[in-house]
Amino acid sequence: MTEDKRMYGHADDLAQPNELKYVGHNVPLHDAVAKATGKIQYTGDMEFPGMLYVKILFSPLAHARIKKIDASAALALPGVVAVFTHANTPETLYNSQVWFAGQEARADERLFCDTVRFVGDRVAAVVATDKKTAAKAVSLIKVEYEVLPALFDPEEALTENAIEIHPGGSPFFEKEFGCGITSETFNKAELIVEDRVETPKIHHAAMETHVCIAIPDYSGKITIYTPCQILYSVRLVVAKVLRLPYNKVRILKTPMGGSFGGKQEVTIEPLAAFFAQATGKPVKIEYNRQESIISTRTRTRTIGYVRTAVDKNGKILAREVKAIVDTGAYTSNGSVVSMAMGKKIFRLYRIENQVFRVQAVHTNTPVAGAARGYGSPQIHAITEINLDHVANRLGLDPVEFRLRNLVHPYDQDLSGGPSLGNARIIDCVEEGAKLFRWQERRAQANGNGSGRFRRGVGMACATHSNGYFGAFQDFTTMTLRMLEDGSMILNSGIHELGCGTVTTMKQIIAEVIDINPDRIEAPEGDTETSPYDVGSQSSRVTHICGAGALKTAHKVKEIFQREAAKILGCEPEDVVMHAEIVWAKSKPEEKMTYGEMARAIQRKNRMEIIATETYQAADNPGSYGANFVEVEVDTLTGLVRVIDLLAVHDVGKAINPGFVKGQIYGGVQMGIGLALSEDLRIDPKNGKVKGDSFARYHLINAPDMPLVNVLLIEKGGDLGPFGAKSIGEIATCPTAPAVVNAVNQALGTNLTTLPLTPERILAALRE
Amino acid sequence: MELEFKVNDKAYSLEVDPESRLLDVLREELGLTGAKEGCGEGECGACTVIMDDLAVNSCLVLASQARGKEILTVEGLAANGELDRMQQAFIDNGAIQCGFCTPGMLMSAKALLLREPNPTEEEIRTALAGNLCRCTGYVNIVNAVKDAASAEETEGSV
Amino acid sequence: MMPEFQVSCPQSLAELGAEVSRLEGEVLFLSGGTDLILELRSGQRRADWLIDISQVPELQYIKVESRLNGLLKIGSGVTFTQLSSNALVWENAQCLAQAGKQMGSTQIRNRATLGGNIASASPAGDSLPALVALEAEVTVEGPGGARTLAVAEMLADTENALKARELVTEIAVPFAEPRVERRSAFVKIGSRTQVSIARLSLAAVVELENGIIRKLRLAVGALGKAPLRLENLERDWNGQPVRPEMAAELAQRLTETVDKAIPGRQSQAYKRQAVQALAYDIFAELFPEQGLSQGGGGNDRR
Repeated sequence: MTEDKRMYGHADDLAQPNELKYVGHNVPLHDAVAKATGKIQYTGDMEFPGMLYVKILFSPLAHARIKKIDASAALALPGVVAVFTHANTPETLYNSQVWFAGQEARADERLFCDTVRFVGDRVAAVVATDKKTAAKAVSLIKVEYEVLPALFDPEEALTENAIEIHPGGSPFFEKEFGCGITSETFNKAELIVEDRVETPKIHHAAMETHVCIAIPDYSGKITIYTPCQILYSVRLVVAKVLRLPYNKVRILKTPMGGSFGGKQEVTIEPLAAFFAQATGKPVKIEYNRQESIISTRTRTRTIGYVRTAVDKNGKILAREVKAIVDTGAYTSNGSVVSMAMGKKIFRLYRIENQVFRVQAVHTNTPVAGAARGYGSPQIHAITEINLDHVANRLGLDPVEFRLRNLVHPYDQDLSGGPSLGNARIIDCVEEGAKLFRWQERRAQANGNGSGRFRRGVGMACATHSNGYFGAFQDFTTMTLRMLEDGSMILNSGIHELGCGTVTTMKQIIAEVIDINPDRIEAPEGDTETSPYDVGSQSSRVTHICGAGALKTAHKVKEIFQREAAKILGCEPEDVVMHAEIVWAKSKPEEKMTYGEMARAIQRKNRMEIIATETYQAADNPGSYGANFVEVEVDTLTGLVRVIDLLAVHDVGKAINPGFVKGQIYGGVQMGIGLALSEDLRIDPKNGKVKGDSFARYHLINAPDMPLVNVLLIEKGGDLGPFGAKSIGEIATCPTAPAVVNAVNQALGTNLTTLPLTPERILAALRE
Repeated sequence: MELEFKVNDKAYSLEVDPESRLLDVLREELGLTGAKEGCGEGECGACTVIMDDLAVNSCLVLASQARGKEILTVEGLAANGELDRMQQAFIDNGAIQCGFCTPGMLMSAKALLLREPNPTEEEIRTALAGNLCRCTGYVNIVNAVKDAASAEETEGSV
Repeated sequence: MMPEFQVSCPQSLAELGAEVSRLEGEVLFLSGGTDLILELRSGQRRADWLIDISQVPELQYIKVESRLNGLLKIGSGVTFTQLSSNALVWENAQCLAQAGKQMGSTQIRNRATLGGNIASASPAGDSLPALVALEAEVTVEGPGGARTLAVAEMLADTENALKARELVTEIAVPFAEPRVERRSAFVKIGSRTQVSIARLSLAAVVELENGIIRKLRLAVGALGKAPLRLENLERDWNGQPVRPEMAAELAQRLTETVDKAIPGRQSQAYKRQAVQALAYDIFAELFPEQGLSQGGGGNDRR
């Protein structure tokens, strides 16, 4: 273990930044030029000869049994190749979020079902020679429905006479876990503060809508081009639905036009694959924005009930958190996200007595699933809004209150999860408060409470994971080779989501081999040729895959030195590798390029410089973050202007600080949206999504985006490459509660239902 | 119907479907897939191109309305193989993540500099208000536009 | 799915006239297309023919005519970008320029036209309260000849609405009498700072002589099918000097207007309160010399 720690860069032996040549530097995104010139081909830009196009008919009803589908008029239209419904597609039930073979998950989805369970559920599909014909044909399909009673409210789903959307009804998943003894502690508390906090269903809003292409070949193999997050998850579900062996399903990761969890689950790929298999032609499915909003995945709507007990010194004695998780009409990741949510509350504050209870329910609303943070933004909104309420009741500054309770480096997870590792949240809060001038600004904002425009200053903390260690198997396998010209290829199952994963891997390898990152190719995953990887999920990529790249690079370096030593006539440890030049320490005048050496090794040693290594995750430290924010509320219109925000993140080590900041800026944008404007707004009368277009679903746009400052805490200390920890998901977790807490300070309110729309703000002011 | 127009300095005479939008013709007839369809209703700006020096949503322009016009798409920004300053600034400032909004952002930014070579931050944000991005929080995009504008000023040309 | 239609692209007014007479079936005029193209694609509207007027140069002008006290004449094909960047408009119809500036995004303003905004007659149409407050007139040409009527009349009364094949060709804004100082302003509330449909908007035109209100026109948008005028208040303030207390009074009257316009509507609770913001905002815009901040007597933005 000690050795490992040295190899992966422990805090104590972290190299100084100026000693690192590539790690810690802002190397540009590997495909930035292709993206800036419009040359990169996203899936929607790809065409294949003979390709067919799909238009899906979505249910206009929230809950109904399909009595009859008449597709004769559609089929009669020239150009229509096939119409698919529940009657002529596999009955196989599957779950869209399983990512490893043998994973247990409630399978309740079908390509097409004879019962529709939400507005946007799939009823039928037309496959045609062009998009226009497919669209026209869909409008000609006649469907007779028998309307069934529907439910939209997750709390109603838990009432005794609630309808059953799936057999057994809700909750379909229930769990309770915790530490210590809460009930007795509550009796001893000085103060107990309770809140009900609600977070909405939101749309991931990747600018690229959902799209994929499936291509059959003469051997029965189906190849799928898809901007996905987990190749092996797509393969699993497609193979199951099509009853194909895994090696007859090939998944290729295409350039990702944004995902944020929205393309993590397997939604349209099995449809395209089945249509391709059935028609023998390449098939493209491309959703429009409305279809992506209503018929793919959303963040879970979550209702939290929190009770926090404190003593008069502001020490948290006990806490109970109850969450109701609305996954919509199908199970999706309901149980996994429920658990992921709960685990976070044991990893941010030292709370000896704490219990988490969760119930996951079905409603006749769009299906929830993975969404940046995987439950973290929801649970942190619930608990961090409550903590400000506690601080207010105690008359204690929210920063001071948190500092009295936050976890310390290398604390244990009292619920039994993995060690928190070098948890630097206290540094985040202390240094952030200083940089933000928290006390001064908080006092100033608060003193200004009578006019139309009121200022408020708020903050919140959050934690997130670094992979699956402690919960599910987590490992990655990579093959790295040096070619005869000294260039390199990393072969792995990585997925570039636009965050810089490919470049990050290159930087890590470059640092070890001392080679220009541009001389390394790191293609994205292809299930036929890439080794296994768990996928771009659970904030694992830099921490786990990065460690895999580091381990593999060290192995390649070892092989290179061993083989070069034979050529140079020295010991392997005397082989110097510097800036793509190699020599023996004792003979600095005899220099060779890496390419010359690779050729010499091939010629004389009959060897290839290649290594395949598996890295097994062995830790899962917390990533931590704190946001400090100032807002101005217009008390007449209820509109909130976020003025500026400081995001402080404990990232261990930023492999590429520019990418890390990029994640934070985007996370903040998403978090402000969650706090203030984003909500699918399900119509309680009919289950229709009111926010089904960007005109009716407002993302934060450029004029409303505040100044964002970033402070990175880089203290290493865990097993990630060079000490790196995750940022992609944690980046969005503290933002929404920080904004809400700022608004509550500005107005002296206790607003707890997100988003804080102008209506909700004015209603609170009227009270 | 017949459509004569110029795209990226090249004259075209095409037979187009009257219902086709400018976006459809660029992507499907001319193979210029840089402009993207992110919403199809003029809200996200991913389809932005420059028509006679003005940024327009090509999903809200019928192809026939482009008759006689000069269209500039992202593919035309580096027509001679050399990156436009705006493209270089986007790359240098980390303004690109997933890249799907990038072509539209570039064209809105470019159109801004065509009419206002030295914009204020507020003008930049207004010019980009109709271009949505989910990755970057616009931070580095705004920085890139400032950077490109100051580079243009230094060199005294547009 | 887009229903099938043909497009005609006249290059001059003469060609346009000929096309209107020649084409058969359902004919719609296409201008900026920012609304119509979406309506056609979603199937909300259909047409056999679209006549694209965006390529008719004679519809794109902004000029001042000396007839009467003077008139600002705007061709219906003028885009919101042109409208909001034109000195004549800022000078003579500031509220219209401000409305133009706050409409949609840059890309939308580059295409959407004033004529199109009038023809769409959306309750939230940004130019409409400004045109009503300015007592603007439109010229409409069609198979039955030309007619000129007030924008307010056209919007208020279905009988006056645009008929088949009728096209708005010109918008005329009358000037105030000589020696009268005219000020105007437009303010709105959306659900974000920019690129938002108006949830409420307000345009005001005030004519002053030695600090005394001689004439006042107030029109609220997004409260009904057409902008609502505050006629009682306009009358009450006539002949009065401008006083700071007027902002609060306007706020009160606007709340009453909301209560009367949308009683029991779900949005009433919000709008009756939010509309007060428009009162303070417009008052600060119109009468900066009164020293009233938007805070309405409270603290201003720091």
